Amino acid sequence: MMTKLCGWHRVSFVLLHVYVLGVCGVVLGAFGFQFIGKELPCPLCILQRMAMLLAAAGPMFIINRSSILDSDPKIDLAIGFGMSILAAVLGLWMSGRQVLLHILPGDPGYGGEVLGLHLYSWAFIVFATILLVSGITLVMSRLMVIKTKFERPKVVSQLTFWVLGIVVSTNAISVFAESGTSWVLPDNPTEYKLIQEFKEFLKQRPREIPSKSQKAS
Amino acid sequence: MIAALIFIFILATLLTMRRAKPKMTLIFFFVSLSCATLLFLHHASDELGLSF
Repeated sequence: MMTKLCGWHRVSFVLLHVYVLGVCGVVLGAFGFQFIGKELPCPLCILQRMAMLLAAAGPMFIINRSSILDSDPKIDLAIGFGMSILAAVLGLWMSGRQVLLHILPGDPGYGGEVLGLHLYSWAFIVFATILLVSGITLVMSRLMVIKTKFERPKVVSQLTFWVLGIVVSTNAISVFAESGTSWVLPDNPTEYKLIQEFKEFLKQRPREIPSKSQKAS
Repeated sequence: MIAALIFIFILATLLTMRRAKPKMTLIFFFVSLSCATLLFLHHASDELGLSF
């Protein structure tokens, strides 16, 4: 069993980690807007985050399979980048729609800007880049396939896995706080509904419980 | 709540990657992708139902 990477395989292995961490960085940037800039994400922004994290699941799959001995590296590469392409196409559709919603002259757009572009415009660029990178990697699959098998996942791979896992979990909690107990997210969110619902529940609670004097009468 | 559930499906996609067989990973991936698409269509549809 080989345990050392060389040449293009090393480059490919490093690029897979950069790919996953890069996408995590973009989603964490959106978190910065949400928590520091106090801008609540709209439903389309949340959906674009989902598509980004699903696109990052592809390379994470390939990284994880490099420590499973009886897996075929060529099939793993095809599955991983296939996952990325599907998620990126969905993300392009979502972000493209949001760009078109605000394309008319004079429309201020939704939310803040980074380097003159709104977050959904950046998301469109990110998804297009993911498609481009996935396509190039599949064309160069003879060079990019990781034939090396590790006895156990490398520390950097485990760290990448945990970063992605934490980003996904934090999004789940944040979205639950935003939607509260309703099935779908509000179109223009202005507050965390779960916190408001909890406050209202605390206000109503003493009225429902009869006091001792009421019970006696 | 549906959006939070989809994120939990994505988390399940990640957690099943450590298994020897990739079947469960792919199932959770496609469930997440399908649910995200349906939720997008729900949010993107207008009252007339003409555009999505």
